[in-house]
Amino acid sequence: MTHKKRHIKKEDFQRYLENQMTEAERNTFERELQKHPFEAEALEGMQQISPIELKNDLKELKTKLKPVKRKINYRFWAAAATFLLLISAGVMWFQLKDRSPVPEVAQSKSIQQQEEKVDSKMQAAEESLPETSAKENTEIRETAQPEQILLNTEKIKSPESESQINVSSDKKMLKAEKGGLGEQNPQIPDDEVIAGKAISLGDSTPLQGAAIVERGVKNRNESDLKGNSQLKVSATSDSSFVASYAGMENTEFYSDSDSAIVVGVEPKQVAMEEAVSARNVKGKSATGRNVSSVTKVKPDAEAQPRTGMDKFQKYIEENAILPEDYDDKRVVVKVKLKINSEGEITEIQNTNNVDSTLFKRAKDLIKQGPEWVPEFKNGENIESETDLKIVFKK
Amino acid sequence: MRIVPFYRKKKSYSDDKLLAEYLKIQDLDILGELYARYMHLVYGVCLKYFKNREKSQDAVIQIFEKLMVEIKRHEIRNFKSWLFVVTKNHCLMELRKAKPVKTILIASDEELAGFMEKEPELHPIDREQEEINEKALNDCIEKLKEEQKKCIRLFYFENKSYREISVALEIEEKKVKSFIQNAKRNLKICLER
Repeated sequence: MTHKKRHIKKEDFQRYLENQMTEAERNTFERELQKHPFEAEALEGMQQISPIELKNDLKELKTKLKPVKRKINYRFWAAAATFLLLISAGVMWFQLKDRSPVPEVAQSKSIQQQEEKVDSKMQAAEESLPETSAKENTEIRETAQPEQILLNTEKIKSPESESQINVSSDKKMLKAEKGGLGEQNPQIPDDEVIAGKAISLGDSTPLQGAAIVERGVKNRNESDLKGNSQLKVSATSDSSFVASYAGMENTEFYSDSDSAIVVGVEPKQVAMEEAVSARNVKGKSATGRNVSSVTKVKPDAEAQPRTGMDKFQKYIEENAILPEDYDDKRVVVKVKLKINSEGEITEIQNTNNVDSTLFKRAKDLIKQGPEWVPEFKNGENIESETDLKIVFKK
Repeated sequence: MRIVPFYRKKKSYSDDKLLAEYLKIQDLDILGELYARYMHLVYGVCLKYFKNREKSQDAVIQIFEKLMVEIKRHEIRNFKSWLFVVTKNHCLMELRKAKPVKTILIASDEELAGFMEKEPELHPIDREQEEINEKALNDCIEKLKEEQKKCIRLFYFENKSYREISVALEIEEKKVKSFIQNAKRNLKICLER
């Protein structure tokens, strides 16, 4: 095979264009080009420019291609990295969005051991809820998002030592600590420490910068990133304390020794004067006051099954079986439920006029299903109606 | 057995071997080597279509980048012909972007596949001596028009270059080329009868 001999080399192009070939060579080259359309078209293009330009261009291209190879490798990894970054940024954004302080439920957050005490206080407060809640509710509703901070404070008797202060109210433990360390520091009168944790009610995120200030004295402490704050107070003082947070009304409170105090700091509103005036009332009712304002915000809710609409739908889906003697594959039964303020279903109406057997089945299904919770509006349970769709399938 | 470093070997590998090697170990340098063999042709073709050096140089790089993607997507039998089609398509597409005149792509994906199978068939007259049916060919040549006949004879039988023919017949080189092309077309038709 003589192909190899006639194979066109790169240099041939250069020589042809620079007229360095003999006529015979030219003919060979030209004939060869007849067989190779790629080369033929390439030559046509090359003849557009001068041979020197061609030479230089090709040299340049050679060097240009080297970084391209590197660049392409980087590009892939850069793309992958950017993609990952975007995903994580998106995820983070979603997380942050959900955590914005919008109080939907007034759940008080308290340190474990105090929970019972707090609960009892709250119950007392709830009873005093009705008359005040109406007023405050209207006021609060008008604002966009009443922010409420829950300050859990607790007085711990501790010596002035560097030991870690344990935020617990175990009397025995505290006394022991006090006793033991008292030996070491007999001279120094025991200080007490008001330990507080400031959180936002809506989602229990810690709030930084909530201050506890001892009234009348220059004594102040602000909560850290975790919401913790500690105010040292001399054991002999009996002044009140003020809890404050930027943009909110200050709330005054007293600390009872060995007990937990739940304090809410409320948003600044002119209309809140009435609520705030309760500040001056001493003792537990003051704290109760605040607790009540903390707990009053329960959102309106429509009537629904106790276990939730989703579970109820599932229950229906599993049990709504169409008997064989029906022609259709599925039949839709529409009903209207009447629910009283106790959550009892007083009536079930057949709204799309299905036959009575199927309707009876639907009714039974509902009655045998989970109990219902009445509609809650403006602070109380009320009667309501609800439409349901039950699909019977074979 | 002497251990020849790969980069030396590269120069003597066939296109197919290089391509297979690249697909196996994904080393961009191998692809670069393969591309380097034909880069001048790519550049030339681009020059033909764009008539612009800058644009053509950019295109050469763009086509290399395209290679990387496309190589994995198709089964390529003949790298050179495939590269030719890709280059041409690229040029035509670019031209179409500049001028929204109807520019038809040279080949669709299916046709591309065909291209990759084999080299385009050679005209009888371009084939090796042994293959040619001399009598039939000569008869057909006789039937050509005067100028075409002369050009064919001078080019193929007397091995004259375009330049020489142009001088001899006192016509432009461009005209010589076109006569030869037309003559070939006619010969093909004649020979197929």
